[in-house]
Amino acid sequence: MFLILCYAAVALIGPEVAPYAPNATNPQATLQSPSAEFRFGTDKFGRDIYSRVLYATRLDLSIAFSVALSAFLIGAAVGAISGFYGGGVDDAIMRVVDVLLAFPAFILAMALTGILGDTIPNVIMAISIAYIPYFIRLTRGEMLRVRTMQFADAAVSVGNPSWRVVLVHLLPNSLTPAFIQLTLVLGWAILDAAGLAFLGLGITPPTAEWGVMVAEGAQRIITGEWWTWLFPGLAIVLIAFAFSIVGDGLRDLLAREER
Amino acid sequence: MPEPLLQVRSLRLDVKDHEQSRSVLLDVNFDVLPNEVMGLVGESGSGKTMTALSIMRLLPPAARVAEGRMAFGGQDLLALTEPEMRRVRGSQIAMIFQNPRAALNPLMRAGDQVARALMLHQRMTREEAQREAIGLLGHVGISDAAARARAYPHQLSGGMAQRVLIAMMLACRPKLLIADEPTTGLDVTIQAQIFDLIKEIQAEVGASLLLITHDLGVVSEVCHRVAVMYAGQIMEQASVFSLFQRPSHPYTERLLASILRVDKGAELDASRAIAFASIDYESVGCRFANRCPYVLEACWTQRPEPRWLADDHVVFCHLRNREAE
Amino acid sequence: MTEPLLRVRDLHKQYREGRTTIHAVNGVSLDVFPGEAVGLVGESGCGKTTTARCILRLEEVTRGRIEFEGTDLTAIPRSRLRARRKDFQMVFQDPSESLNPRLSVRRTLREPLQLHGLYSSDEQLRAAVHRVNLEYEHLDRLPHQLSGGQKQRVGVARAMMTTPKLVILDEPTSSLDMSLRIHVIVLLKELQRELNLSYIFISHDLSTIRHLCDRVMVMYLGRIVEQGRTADVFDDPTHVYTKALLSAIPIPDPTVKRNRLLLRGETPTARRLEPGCALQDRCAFVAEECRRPVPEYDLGGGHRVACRLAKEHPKYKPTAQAPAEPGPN
Repeated sequence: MFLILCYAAVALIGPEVAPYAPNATNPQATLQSPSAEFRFGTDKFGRDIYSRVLYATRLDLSIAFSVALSAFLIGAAVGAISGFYGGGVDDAIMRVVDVLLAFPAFILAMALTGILGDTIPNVIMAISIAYIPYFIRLTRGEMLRVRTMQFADAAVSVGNPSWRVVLVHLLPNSLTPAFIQLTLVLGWAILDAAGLAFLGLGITPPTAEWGVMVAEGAQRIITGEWWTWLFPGLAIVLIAFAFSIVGDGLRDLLAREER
Repeated sequence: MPEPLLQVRSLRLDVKDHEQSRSVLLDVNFDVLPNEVMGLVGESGSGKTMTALSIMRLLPPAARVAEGRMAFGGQDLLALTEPEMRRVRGSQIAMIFQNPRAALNPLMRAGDQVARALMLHQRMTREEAQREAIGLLGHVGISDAAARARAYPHQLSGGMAQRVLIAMMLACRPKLLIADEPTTGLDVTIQAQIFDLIKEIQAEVGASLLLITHDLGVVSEVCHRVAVMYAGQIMEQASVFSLFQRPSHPYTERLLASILRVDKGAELDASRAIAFASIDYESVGCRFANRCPYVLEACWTQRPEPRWLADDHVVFCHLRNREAE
Repeated sequence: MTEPLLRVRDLHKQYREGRTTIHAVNGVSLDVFPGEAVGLVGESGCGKTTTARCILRLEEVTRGRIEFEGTDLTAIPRSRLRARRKDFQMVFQDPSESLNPRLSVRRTLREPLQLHGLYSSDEQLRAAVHRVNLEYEHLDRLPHQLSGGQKQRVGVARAMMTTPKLVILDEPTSSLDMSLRIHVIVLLKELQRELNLSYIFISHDLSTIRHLCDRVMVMYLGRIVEQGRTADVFDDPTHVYTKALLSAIPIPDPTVKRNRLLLRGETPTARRLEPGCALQDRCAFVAEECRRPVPEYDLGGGHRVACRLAKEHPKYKPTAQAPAEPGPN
C-alpha cells in the first residue's frame, strides 16, 4: 500500500520534465502513434500527448488538492461548530446538508459549474461545494461522540476555557474520518473535473487536462488512434486508485493508534 | 470423591498473534463434580474465559488446543466432530456470558426465545413451548411473566435479561452450566438475587455449574469447590472452606491478603499483597515465579507436580512439594 | 468547629430525556471538611455521579447552592469559576476514556499547570509521575501505550497537579483487578496525608469505601437515605436500603453467616418524584408515614437516617426541632 503511495507521489510530482510545450502544435506530425520522439504519440493538432499528460498532471493535482483541502477545512469547521453547539444552529446546518447530499456530487458540480461559468477557479469551487457536506457530516458526527467523553470533561475540569477544549481536545480527535475522506475526495475530485471537462463544462480545450484529452481522444476511438485517449485515461485511473489505496492505509494506521 | 462430570487435564491453548504463538493456557487441570457449583477464579488475563470457550469448543480461529484432554461424562470433547459437538452444546453443556442483553436476539421477544429453546431441546409444540416458557420465566423470578414474555430484549433491565438467559438454559436441561461473570455490570442487590437464583436452580435441576468470576466474595458464598487460575495455569484447587482457611499456593495466599472486606475495616497492609509486575506468559514453568516471594530455581523452568493436601485440596507449587520431602 | 470546605445545600438536578424528565438529584445536602474523606455510595441510577458533576460544575444545577470555601459556585461568572478550578479536581471513572488519546502524558500533566500559571519546569512533571509510582519515561508515552492501571495513575497525577484542596474520585478502583486495588488505596491515602486533601469518593464498591472514607453517605434515587461515620453506617445500618445493600455484598469468608434482606423488584428510573420515602414501593417495612416526606432521624455522632425504623433504634433521641445542618457533630 505504502509503496503505491510513494510511487504515485513521486511519479506525479515530476511534471517538470516534459520535452515539449503542451500546446505547441506540429502540423506535420499529426496523429502519430507512439514513437521514440513522441512517447505517447500525437493528437490531431500534432501536439505531443506525453507532454500534455505531464503538464496536465500539475493542473489536475492542484485542482484535486484545492478542492479537497477547501472542502475539508470549511466542512470540518462547520461540522465542528454544528456538533459542539447543537440545538438550533445544528438543526439548521444539518437541514442544508441534507438537501445538498440529496444530489450526487457530480450532478451538483455540473449544476454549479453551469451557473458559475467555465473557468478553473469556478470548477474548483463547484466541486468543492459538492463535497463540503460530507465533511460537515463526518466532523459533526465525531464531535458529538467526542463531546461526551470523559477527557472532554477532564479538560473542562482542569480549567480549560471552552475554545481550548474544542481546539485542543475535541477537534483533533474528531478529524480522523474526515482525513480519510480527504484522501478519497482527492481521487474523486479528479474524476469529477475530468468528467466535467469530458462533457464540455469547466475546463475547455486547448487547456491540457486529462479529461479534456480523453474527450478529444474519444472521438478517435472508432478511427483507431488509441493513444489519444488511453494515456490520459490511464493517468486518471491510476491516480484515483492510488489515492484510494492511501486512504485505506491511512485508515488502518489511524485506527490502530486510537485504540 | 465421586466420578467427575468434567475432567480437564494438561490443557494447553496456543493463540497466534501476528506470527507469534502464545500459550494462553498452559497445563490447566481441574475437575467439575456432579451436582456442585465449581468456581474458576482469577484476575483479568488469567485465562478463565478462554478455558470456558475451550470446553465449549467455541474458540476463535487463531486459537488451537495444542495439548490435553477434556473428558465430559466419559466422552472426549476434543475428539468430537463439529456436528457432534453441536449436539453437546446446549443440550448437555450450556453457557451464559457477561452481557446478557447482547446474548439475546434483539429482534425476538423474550418469551419466544425461551420457547424456541424448548422446542429445540425438548421437542415441544409451539403452544406447549410458549406456555412452558412463561412458566419458566416466572420460575426464574420474573414477575408478571406473561407480560414480560412479550417484551424485546432492549426493554428489559440487565438483571431481567440475565434471568431470561437462565430460563433458556433451564429449557435445555444441560448437565453442565458454564457462567462467565454473569453479573458484571449489574447492581449489587440484583447480583445477589441472580446468584441466589442460580444456586436454587442448580440444586433443583441437579446440574453442575462452572462459575467463572474474579470476585472471591462470590466464590465464598456461591461455590462448593474452586480452582484458582493465574496466567493460564491452575495454581490450586480445593473446597471453598479449605481454600479460605488453609490457602497453600503463594498466589492464593497473597490474593486473599489483598482483598478488602466490607465487614471489617482492618488496617491496610500492602506488603502482603501481590507485587507489581507484568504477567509472564512466556514461561513454561510456574508463571507466578516473577512475583513470588518464595521463588525457587525450578519454578522458572518446570511445571510443578500436583501435591494433594487433603482429599479435595491440590496445589501446584514447587515450594510445597519441597516441604513435603 | 472548623468551617466546611464544601457545603452543598438542597441540590436538585433534573434533565430531559426526550419527553420525560429524569429527576437525578432530589434535595441533596452535604458538607465536606478539610482533610476528610467522604464516600458517596449507591447503585446505578442513584444520582451519585450526577451530584459530583454538579459540584464540579460540569453540569448546571436545577436548584441549590454549592459553596466552596465560602464562594457559591453556582453564582459566579465562568471566568472566576475557571480560576477556582485549581482547588477542586476530579479523577474520572474510566481511565481509558479520561485521557485525550492524542496527548502524551507529559502534555496532559502539564496542561493544568499551564492553565493556572503554575508551570515552571520539567521537574514538576517528573516529581508528579514518580509520586504515583510511574517512571520518567512514561511521560512521553501516549495513552494507548499504557496499561489500565498506569492510565489510572496518570489520571490521579493529573488531578493532583495543581495541589487542589478537594478531589472527587469516581469509582477509582472499579476497573482494577483485586491485586491492584489495595495499592491504589494505599497511594490515595498517602496522597491525602501529604497534601491534606479532602476526598469525595463515589463508588458502588463498598469494601473500597470502607477502607478509604471517614464518613459515608448512602444514596438512593437522588436522595441521601443514611449518612454517618463509616463504622456506624457499615456496622450498624439502619435504613432498610442500607441494610439491603450491605447484606447483598458477597463476603470472601465462608465462615460468615449471611442474612439477606431482599427488596422487591428492581430499582426504578427516577422518572416520577413520589412524595415520601424513595424506597416505598420496594420496602418490606413500609408504613403510612413513609408516604409523606421523611425527616432525617438523628442517632448521634453524625449518624442520620431518613427512615422510620430509626425511631426504634436504641440510640435514637427524639428532638423537637427539624434536623440541623449535616456534617459530623
